[in-house]
Amino acid sequence: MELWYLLFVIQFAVALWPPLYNRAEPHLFGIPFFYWFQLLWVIVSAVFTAIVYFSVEE
Amino acid sequence: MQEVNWIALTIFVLLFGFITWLGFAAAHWRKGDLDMLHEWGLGGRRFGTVITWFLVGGDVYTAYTFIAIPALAFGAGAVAFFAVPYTIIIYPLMFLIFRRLWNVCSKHGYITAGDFVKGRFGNRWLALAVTITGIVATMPYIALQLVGLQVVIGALGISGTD
Repeated sequence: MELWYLLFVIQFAVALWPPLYNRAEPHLFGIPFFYWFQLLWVIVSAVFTAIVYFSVEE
Repeated sequence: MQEVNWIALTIFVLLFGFITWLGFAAAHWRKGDLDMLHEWGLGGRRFGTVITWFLVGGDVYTAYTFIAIPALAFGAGAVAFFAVPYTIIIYPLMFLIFRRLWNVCSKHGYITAGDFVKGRFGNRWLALAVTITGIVATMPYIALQLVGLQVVIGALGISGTD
């Protein structure tokens, strides 16, 4: 199912579009949005990569 | 002169000795013919998922990651966070490109990026340009690794200068 590769487009778009996360609010556990949002996407992109891997692998 | 941190130094030396021993022990485990370039450089293309996982870990979590990037964050602030989106993008790129690259290189016996470019485009000057670009582009990264190593060894109390 090749459409699973579109998940990569989502994570590329998010990571390469700083205006999306270039702000301090809302804080999470005292951490500004700019930082926790990017770190969150490290985990999200790992999950995306795993989904694509298990979907396209025979 | 900085005081030598004996506990940290002992742990460092023990770990260093263990890793060195492990390296020599591993060289005898599934021994390869080191006269062949792909055995010497690529482990005979026999690395499976687990070993590759550790190799990628060794590539990523280096003095650059633990010393240089945090130092940049402390010194210059949020600009050091380039490393995070970079990581988000680079893994899927590797996932997309490297599996195909591995298959092609394995089939044709390519060992370096230059080999691949020469085989794919049939131009040895392009291969040379790619090779030189790779070496030059790696230099600042290696320099950062050395600075990181200097900081690590300095933290053990061995500064080299008075």
